[in-house]
Amino acid sequence: MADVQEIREIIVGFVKRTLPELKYQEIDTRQSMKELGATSIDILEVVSASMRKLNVQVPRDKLGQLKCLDDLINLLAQIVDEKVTE
Amino acid sequence: MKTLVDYDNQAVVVTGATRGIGLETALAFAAEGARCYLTFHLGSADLDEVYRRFEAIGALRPCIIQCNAANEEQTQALFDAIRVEHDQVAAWISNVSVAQLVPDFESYYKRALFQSIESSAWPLYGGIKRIKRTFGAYPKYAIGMSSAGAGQYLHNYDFMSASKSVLETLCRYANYRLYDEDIRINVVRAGMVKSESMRLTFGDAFADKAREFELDRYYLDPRAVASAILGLCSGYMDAVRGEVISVDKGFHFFDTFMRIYSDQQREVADRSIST
Repeated sequence: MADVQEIREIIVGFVKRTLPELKYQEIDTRQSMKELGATSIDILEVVSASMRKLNVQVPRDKLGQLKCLDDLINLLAQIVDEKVTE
Repeated sequence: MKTLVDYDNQAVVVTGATRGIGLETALAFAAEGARCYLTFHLGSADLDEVYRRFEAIGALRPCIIQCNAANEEQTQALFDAIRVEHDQVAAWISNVSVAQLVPDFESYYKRALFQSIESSAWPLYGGIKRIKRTFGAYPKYAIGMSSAGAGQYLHNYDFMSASKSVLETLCRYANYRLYDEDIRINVVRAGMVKSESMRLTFGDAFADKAREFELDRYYLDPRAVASAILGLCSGYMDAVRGEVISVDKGFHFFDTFMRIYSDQQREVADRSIST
């Protein structure tokens, strides 16, 4: 199962795939995707692709509370962790 | 409803189908014996509950697949999976819409508009083409879901409205293009259904404001929309093609300031009679 660092790499990878103009940039995960230039559809794509990759589901309400990429990384890490301990 | 079309073990695909109108539509087809393929994108719904709903009506167990309807690779994988069990798709219900919400003119960006159209209008037509390519035949029925936003102002709905307008326009043209083919394409312009999508689109305060102006008494039951969709795909309405059908109990006509005024005047009159 993926740890926080792996989840960070997965998410950053999908951010760069969705926003190719950031491909060669260091992504500051303290930023929101909106600050990085993403539309809401881009955000949906990154979240959905990450969920598929990690084989987890995230309640939509929790997604609405996320302020930055670190929040998404931590949320997915928590869900992956809960899945492992089930 | 007893349909003219025999849906027994026929493949019916509904996108965005684990909740709301999509789920009720899938259940309506399943009640006719269809084997339903339900897609979801983020998957926030309780899938066990979805399976239970099908079980409760004695329907075939649905196949629930995570699929972004705007993603061609994922959509093709969906149809390839269906192809293993079925040699055609009887009905293709493109229910899901995703668009960028727009709070002001500064938020108008070409990329966001195009993405909205790609995610909300194109999946109906892209799906029809892929079904033809995968199965060698068009689906007998194809339905796209529109909303009141295609014809009137809705809060922050600029790009969704634009996407719905594209969906509706292409419905008429696609019907002309495919007039001699065994396919009936229509768009259902559904009235407002109280749902999580409504809250996410218009904000938390909307439901309270709607109550204040008694709008909530005009909310539509998603089962009413599902019945209309099944009706269009039942065989009884095969001459209805390339149409945009309003399913809102006529609300679009009186969804106006004058209606609010009339409702309030009637309330005042009712109160004076009762006192």
